Amino acid sequence: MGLDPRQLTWQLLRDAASSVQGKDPGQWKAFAEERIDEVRRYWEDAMGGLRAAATQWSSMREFAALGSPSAMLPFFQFRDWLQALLDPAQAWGGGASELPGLGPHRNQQEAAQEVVRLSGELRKTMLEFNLYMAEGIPEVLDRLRDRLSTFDVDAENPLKSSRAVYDLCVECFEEVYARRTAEESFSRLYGELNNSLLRLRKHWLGQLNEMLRGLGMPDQEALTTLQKRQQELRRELRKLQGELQTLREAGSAPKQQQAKQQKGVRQPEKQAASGAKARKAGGRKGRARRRGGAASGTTTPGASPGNTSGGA
Amino acid sequence: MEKQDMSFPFLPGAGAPEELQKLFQQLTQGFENLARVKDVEVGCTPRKALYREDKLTLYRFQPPEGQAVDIPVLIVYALVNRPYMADLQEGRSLVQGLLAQGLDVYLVDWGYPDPSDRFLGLDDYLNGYLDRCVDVLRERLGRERLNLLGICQGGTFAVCYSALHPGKVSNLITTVAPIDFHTPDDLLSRMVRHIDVDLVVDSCGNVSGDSLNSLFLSLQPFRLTGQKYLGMLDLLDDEQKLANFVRMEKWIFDSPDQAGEAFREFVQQFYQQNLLVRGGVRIGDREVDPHCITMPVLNVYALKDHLVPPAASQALKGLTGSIDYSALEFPGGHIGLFVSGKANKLVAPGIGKWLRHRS
Repeated sequence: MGLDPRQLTWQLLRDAASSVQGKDPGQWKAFAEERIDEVRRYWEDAMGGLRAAATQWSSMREFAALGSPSAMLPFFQFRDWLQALLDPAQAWGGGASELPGLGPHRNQQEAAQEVVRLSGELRKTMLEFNLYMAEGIPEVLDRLRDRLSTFDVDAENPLKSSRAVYDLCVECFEEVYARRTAEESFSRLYGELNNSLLRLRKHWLGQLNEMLRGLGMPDQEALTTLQKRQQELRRELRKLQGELQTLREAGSAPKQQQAKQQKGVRQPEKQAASGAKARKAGGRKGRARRRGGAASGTTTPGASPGNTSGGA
Repeated sequence: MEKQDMSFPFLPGAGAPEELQKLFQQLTQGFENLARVKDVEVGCTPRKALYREDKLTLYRFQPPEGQAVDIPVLIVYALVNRPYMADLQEGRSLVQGLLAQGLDVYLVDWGYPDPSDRFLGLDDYLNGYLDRCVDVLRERLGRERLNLLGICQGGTFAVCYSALHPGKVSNLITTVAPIDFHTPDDLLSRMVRHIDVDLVVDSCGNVSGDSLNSLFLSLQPFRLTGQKYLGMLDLLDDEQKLANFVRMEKWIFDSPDQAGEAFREFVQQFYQQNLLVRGGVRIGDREVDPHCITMPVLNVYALKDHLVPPAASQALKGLTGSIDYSALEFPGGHIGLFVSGKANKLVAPGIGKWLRHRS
């Protein structure tokens, strides 16, 4: 009968509890420190493996590339496994990734080799990034231990709940995260991680495009070209609408002037009162339009009444 | 059957089982409230569309009945996230605060770009869309110049626009706007510094809002992906607070995709090369010269901002050609500046007073 994980967790909690049961409640700190040290040791061991994997990347690749006499089969089975893990291209055909593509499918062969190469690059970068982030854990645990040691059962503000311990953990994690992400090496690793992923994505996209073209379907490249042309046309349309508006305004100006003059003959007394105001407003609008067109190199908003709504 | 001893003396005070039990009770009782706040509404002030172009809409917010508004101000929002953050809900709205100050509030909503907008560049956004919105308002209001209020990336845009079109801006207000993108405490900038943005745009086209959200969450991953939601449990019995939480969640994850070309230009020129401070930002065929900003400038920034550190905003001082520079420090975070109770008392009144003095 398998062990229920909930029972196991409860048992662990009870074991932990019994280790300080009946003792001075102040001993919880010693208990916490012990557990933290335990986790720290465990983590350091795990880190050793990760570090080895990252720093010995090249030597492992060399080892994985050795020949495979049948007498040493078990050893070389392990080697094959390692090889597949580190560089599937090597495992695939004993250095196939180094060979040029041949025959009618040479392009596809080389494209597949490139996928394998880029995947390997991504795995390597991911390992380095994870290692960098994991290296901060011991510092988190040290901080947590120091922080816990400042709390006291009899203090005014003791740690009262598991939630408080959790909050303390989050605080320590965030502090260390902020410190490590402030380093230039983080910035470089994070950039490289994203770039490796994007290189792989771009390559896949190229393969997908090939396939779509083969099926006679529109591919991403075709869409990109259309999107670009559409934007160019939008800009051109805006420019032409602006020019048209300027021409319309220029054409209507003499008529407005003529109307004003005729009105002036009939009502000279009113013109005297309102003329200055009208000239001021007209000049202001005209200046606004001219400056808008010149600065943006595009158009004025009034140029496109079809795009407006709500009484602009 | 032997009765189990449930005491757990690891921590003084409440034992762990009791704490767990309390947690389950909270969850059970709060479940109904959680279901009730599923469909929260955002954006509380009535508004009217004045101008539309492609995905962009220019809005005017309606002042409350009987409220006179005489100083126009155009809010320029960021391309990242949605502008209703400035008008999130009753009592937590910068827009309401500005209206109460007698300001006539307009807003540029950029909309949600789709693949057909992939080649929209900063030139299209600033010298095209924004400039046309400004011209619509100048003509409508019969004014040569407008007051601009930029929010976050919209603040950076407002700075660039004011430098390119100084004759159209009477006063410039920036809120939590990044200016110096290379301050030591700017994690966002460090994260994107070595990313090959050409590769991003060439392989992805538009940049998805989800990927930007992941980036923002990774600024404080332990707080923002875990602790925050544990904290939500404390709100479960208060429907009002829970609704506020869910409303904020809705805003945070309502992230438009970014038009590829504009994203490329913004990240390369601002985040990676820091050209706004160093000089040499190019929008279209023109160079942005901050010294052309001679109008009065009010720079509002948050002292606990983890997205745009205060130092990144403070860099505006001395960068422009304005002899009338003021700063308003807000003792809170990036979002709190718009939605907190403290902001209601400080930010809108501060902006209103500053603008009225100069109008």
